[in-house]
Amino acid sequence: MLEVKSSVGKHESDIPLLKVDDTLADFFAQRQVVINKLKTMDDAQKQAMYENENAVLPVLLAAMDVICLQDIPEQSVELIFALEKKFVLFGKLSTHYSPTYKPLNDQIHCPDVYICLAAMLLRYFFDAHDINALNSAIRVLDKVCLQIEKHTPIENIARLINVLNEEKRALRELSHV
Amino acid sequence: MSKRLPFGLVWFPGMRAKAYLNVLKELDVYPSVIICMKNSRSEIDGLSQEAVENGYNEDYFDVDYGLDDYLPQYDCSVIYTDATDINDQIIAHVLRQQTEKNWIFTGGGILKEHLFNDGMKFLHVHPGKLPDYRGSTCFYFSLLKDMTLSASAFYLSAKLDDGEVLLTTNFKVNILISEKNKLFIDHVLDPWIRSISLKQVLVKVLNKQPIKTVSYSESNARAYYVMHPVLRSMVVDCINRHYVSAEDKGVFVIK
Repeated sequence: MLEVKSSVGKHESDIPLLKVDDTLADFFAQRQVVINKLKTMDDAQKQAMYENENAVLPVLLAAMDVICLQDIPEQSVELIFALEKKFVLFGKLSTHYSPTYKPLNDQIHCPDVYICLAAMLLRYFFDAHDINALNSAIRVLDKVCLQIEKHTPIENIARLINVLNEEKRALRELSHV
Repeated sequence: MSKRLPFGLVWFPGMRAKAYLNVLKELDVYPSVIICMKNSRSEIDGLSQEAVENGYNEDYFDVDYGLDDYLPQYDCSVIYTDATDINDQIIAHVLRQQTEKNWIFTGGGILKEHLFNDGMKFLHVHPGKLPDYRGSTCFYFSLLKDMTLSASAFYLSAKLDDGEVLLTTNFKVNILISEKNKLFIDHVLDPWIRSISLKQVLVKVLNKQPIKTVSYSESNARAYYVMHPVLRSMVVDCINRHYVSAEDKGVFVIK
């Protein structure tokens, strides 16, 4: 099976140009393998993710519930793209950020934050034709898969499965497959 | 008779620098001074062979033409450094020692503010239409979006991909990508489109033609981030699906 290697931590010139044949099929298969390794969080871990007003997960979840992208509060939109940039630059996301987007803790192994960010980025692909957002979503989900491989627990398994399905839909739409 | 350019050249070894050097040779010009950096990634395994098999040297640029070939033909000052990053202190130090203020930039990192002191200007060519396509791997994104390909020549500023755009060159793409030319996009096409844009700027400069600059700052367009391998493979697929065998094969400047 062709292994589509993650782009995490790679220099631009190290990212290979892949064969187009079977690329998507293999990529989806790799995502599917990860589902079998899912582990859920305990209650204490879940609570820590939502504590105080600097937690990003409640903001992302609220944005996910808004039907129209244009109706998402400006501050939430700002957070989404700030987190995207943080991830691109540093390859990690914390569960809590200051109003100026400085990470407030070292809790970077929280897949649900990444999953929700990916969910919102995929919405920007579907609703605003933002290919950049799709690109970031795929890279964020690469990170999620790496975390799950290391048995990092997640809060909401159904949410991950849904986001992976959305990723698949996005790639199929873009590839005309 | 060869002409001296009103530019220095900061040489960061790699395909972009070689593509630019091919242009200088074609125009029979030389920079006022060359400051050499080092790059451990400069050589691309298999590129020379692929170039021979696919005719890159004839259709695009000689991928093996380097300073060792160029320098014997031109009376040009060369300063060698061990710098591997454009922001290394030695580069700023050497730049300050030169009377030249205008430099052709061939890579080596994202310039920090201190390099713009003392009126230094760096001519850069970005592989994307500015301000719409800022950031990284832009030409992949524009090809995926609507099969467009452009390069923008501009003077760098301390802000990424912001500055005065001198000109934008647009290209038409009609090629097939396969295992036989897998190095083409990153190591030939990218540097080549930049070199064509550079050439257009240099021709205007040499002919003392005015260049109307377009300034922009705080562009609304989000910067593009390094493209994921899966999307890159889709770009290849997109290029191949748009290939028309009845038309001339290659990459062409749209006039």
